[in-house]
Amino acid sequence: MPTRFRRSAFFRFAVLLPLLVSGLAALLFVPIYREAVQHIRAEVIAAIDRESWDLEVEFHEGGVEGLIAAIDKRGERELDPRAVYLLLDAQGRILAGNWHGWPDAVPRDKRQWVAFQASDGEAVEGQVLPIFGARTLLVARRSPLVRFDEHLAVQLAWAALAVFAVSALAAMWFTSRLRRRLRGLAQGAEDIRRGDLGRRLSLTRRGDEIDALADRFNRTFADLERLVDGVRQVSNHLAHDLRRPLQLARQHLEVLSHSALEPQARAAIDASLIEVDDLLGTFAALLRLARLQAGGFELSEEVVDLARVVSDAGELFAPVAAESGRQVHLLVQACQLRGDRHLLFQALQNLIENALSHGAGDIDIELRANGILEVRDYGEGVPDEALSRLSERFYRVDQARTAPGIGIGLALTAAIAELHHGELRFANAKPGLRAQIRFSRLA
Amino acid sequence: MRLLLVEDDRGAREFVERALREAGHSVDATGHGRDGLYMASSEGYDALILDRMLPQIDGLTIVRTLRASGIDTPVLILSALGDVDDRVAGLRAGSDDYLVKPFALSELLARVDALTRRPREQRAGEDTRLTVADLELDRLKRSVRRGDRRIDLQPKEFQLLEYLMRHTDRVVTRTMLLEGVWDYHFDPKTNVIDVHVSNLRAKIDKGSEKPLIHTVRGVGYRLGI
Repeated sequence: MPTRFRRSAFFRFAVLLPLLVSGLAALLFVPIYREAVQHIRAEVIAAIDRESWDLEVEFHEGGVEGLIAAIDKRGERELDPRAVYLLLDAQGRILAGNWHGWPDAVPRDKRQWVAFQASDGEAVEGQVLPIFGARTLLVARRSPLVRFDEHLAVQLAWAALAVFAVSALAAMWFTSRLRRRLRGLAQGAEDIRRGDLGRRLSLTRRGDEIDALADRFNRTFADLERLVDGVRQVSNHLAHDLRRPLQLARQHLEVLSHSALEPQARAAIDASLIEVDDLLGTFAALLRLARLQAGGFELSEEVVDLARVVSDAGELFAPVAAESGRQVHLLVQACQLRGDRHLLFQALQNLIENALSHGAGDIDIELRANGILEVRDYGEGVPDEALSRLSERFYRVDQARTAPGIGIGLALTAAIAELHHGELRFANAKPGLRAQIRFSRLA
Repeated sequence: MRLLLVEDDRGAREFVERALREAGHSVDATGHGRDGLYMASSEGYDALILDRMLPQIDGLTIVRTLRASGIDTPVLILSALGDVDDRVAGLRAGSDDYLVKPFALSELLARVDALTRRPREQRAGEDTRLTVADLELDRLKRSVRRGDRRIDLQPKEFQLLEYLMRHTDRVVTRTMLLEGVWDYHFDPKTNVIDVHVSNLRAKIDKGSEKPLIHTVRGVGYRLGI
């Protein structure tokens, strides 16, 4: 059985419930059945007893002739089609009755209860009564019980099947509707997570538990939207306000650099400008990362030719790599997805720049049609413990932080990958580091 | 050029105003959006430089209003909001260029220059052949000659040269090249553009007496005599 079914609570419900119901019904029915059987049997025996008594009285009052007459009268009126009477004389000749002959294997000597089969197979149950004068009277009845039994068994089997089928169908129908609702809710939650913060789950008018749950979620999402908006406003204010001093400093430095200055002063100013620009760049990258990670970022739904983006990136950086005697190898298959090509380019750029500054040797860039993108160099790679931490903000493998860069690039790449339904992973390709993004949703 | 600058931050406004004047432009400046809108609609400017976040009425609204009234003056938006979707919003509103703060003055000057010459550029866009000195680029045939020497260029090199030639005698910054030739918005950490330009320069200027591709220190590049 596929795992999906086994794991589904709905499936368990749809199967177990009918089973339980049928089982319970069967359990409850058994004593009723037994009681019914006993009752019927008691009735039969009581009827036979009554007849025996009546006929014995007839004998006592009217002798054999009276008995024969009584039996004949019963035969004529045929009150009970099931009744069986047989009177034999001492020699075994039939004196009266509606039976063809004394049944085999039924003893005649004493008063006892007996059972035998009729010629049509039906069971017969009754009493053997010795009558004065070595005569024997048989009072019996065709037993309805056996036929009843068979009849009942068949009925029960059909009933059980019907109960099971109906409750299984009902359970499946009901749970499939529930499942559809839950799937709708799950999809809504996913859309919200992906950035559509204004979306809300839809409620039916029934106001049942699922609606109550959806309502709870909607309230949480409203809070979330408020929070994200708050963060966004803060970061926009940060962008405007905190950057100002840096901006002003930059302006002053630039003004200075245009004035006539001695080479030493000019060099110092140029160097300061570079530092300020670096700081501003870091700031910008941090803000960008915060925005991407905060969610609520509405990603464009445009179809992006990822193969084109990868080729463009590879071609852009090939000359830079060539300057250090390194080659860029591009292996690109057609691949498309929905999203923002500028962001994707940025992600790729970070990976390539990472390979350029921290790796060594040639750089292989590969995009496969199934959405797997890889950038690989042939350098020293990275210590195994560091692999999972590479995309952390500010993480630098070289703890002394001597090489340039502050460790945001890979975090940005990871955030961009995730926005595009992808996952960034690192592995040591021995030699070198392999950065891989698996895009799971292609267009 | 006659320029209008609308920027509410006094320090930034005075700074930019001075720089523009020093570069030879005549500048009207205001810190109020409404005044800016009024001035832009009534007086003829060669280009408008608008800050995006203005009190009362923001830069994009000004642009939209101008465009809706049929005013086609080129607009450059200045903004601290630098994400791609902010850029796209700016361009969709009708502006012609978008510069993220903080910016280098040289970047601003180069872009303003590019803005104001756009009409001429549009005419140039119709020419199939671009010529500077003895350098000739044929757009239809995708061929480049210098004098009688045929030059073989990679597709991207061709596009780069074409962009430079369309901006002959004007300074073109690295960011402008990134956006104009590669059509991506990003800040490279490495000197990616420089390498491409120097490879192009090697092909174009080698063996010729007069170099055509010049580096403008601290700003970018210029193609010209």
